[in-house]
Amino acid sequence: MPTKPNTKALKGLIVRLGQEPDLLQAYSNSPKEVMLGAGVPSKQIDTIMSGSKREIENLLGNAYFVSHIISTTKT
Amino acid sequence: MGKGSIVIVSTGMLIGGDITVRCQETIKQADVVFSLMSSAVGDSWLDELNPNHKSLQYLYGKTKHRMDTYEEMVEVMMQEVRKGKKVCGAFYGHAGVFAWAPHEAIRVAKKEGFEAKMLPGVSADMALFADLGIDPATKGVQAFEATQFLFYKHQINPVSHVILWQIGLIGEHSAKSFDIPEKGPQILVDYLSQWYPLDHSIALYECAVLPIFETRIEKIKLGDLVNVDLNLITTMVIEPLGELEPNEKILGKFGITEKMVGSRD
Ligand SMILES: C[S@@+](CC[C@H](N)C(=O)[O-])C[C@H]1O[C@@H](n2cnc3c(N)ncnc32)[C@H](O)[C@@H]1O
Repeated sequence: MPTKPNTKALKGLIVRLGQEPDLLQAYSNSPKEVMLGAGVPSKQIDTIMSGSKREIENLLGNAYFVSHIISTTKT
Repeated sequence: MGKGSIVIVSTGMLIGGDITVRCQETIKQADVVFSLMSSAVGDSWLDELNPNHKSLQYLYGKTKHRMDTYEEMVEVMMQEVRKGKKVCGAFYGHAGVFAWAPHEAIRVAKKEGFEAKMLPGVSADMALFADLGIDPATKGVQAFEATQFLFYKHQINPVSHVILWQIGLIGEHSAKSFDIPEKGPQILVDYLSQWYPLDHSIALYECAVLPIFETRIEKIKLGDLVNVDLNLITTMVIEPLGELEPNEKILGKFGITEKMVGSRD
């Protein structure tokens, strides 16, 4: 089994992008530079830059999230 | 140790950015935080806010009845409340919107004599109003759980916007599966065609919970619903059809005509 990559820097950056409009603007203009500045490893930067939603979700560990559903049709 | 308590907080849609100040402070100050986030990024964010954070995600099972899962969520949180802890349950979106377990946790805690409350937040429909430019005041809004709408005799008011939640599980009756029954969308389209023409405009909405992704706003014709991807996070919106019809009887009781409503003359 391959070891899970440490995505702490990437996840920390994504949270900040949701909180700081200026940073988000900088990221929209030059995502690579912003990720490098936040200490995101280059392999992870490549995954993000690939734009493949599936690969990005895998990297972040979102693939098996079903917690979107917390309600049933009838209770 | 003091008497236990529970506060259910809402973390909003966009992870990190949508949370209210009091929800965030409640997370920080709790003895223990349990959560259901919409992304693993949300989990690591909560880990930073409070090291005593645990996700409830592990309670889901592929063929497990969802009510069992939800009851276990309530029980896991309540065990800590009974130990005298200050418990926080953090749920994505608005914790009380289309979410049984958070409401139940409050009911159980209160019944057992503990302090319990829920704090509101930004839900999927609140984000939708912003992203799709809908004001519920214009013509009204109806909202239904999509499968419940099919299985029970709800009445549509086509003049208003209609929001169907959990469209990605349309027709899923067992509460044990996360797969959409193949015929679900077609049955929905057929059923809706008693109110709308097949070329009526609908929108599929998936707001980005991470700022690195795009929000999906896909406008299609009702009849094309059978050809598109529906996911667990998809919300469907039906555009209004027709104009508001004046209620002459009530207007008469006020001694006015419809022309006088909001008139500048
Ligand atoms: C169990 S409900 C939970 C709703 C959540 N408590 C809220 O406040 O929005 C799940 C449903 O919410 C809607 N939903 C959840 N995430 C969404 C998203 N990112 N975009 C649009 N709708 C979403 C979908 O209709 C989905 O099937």
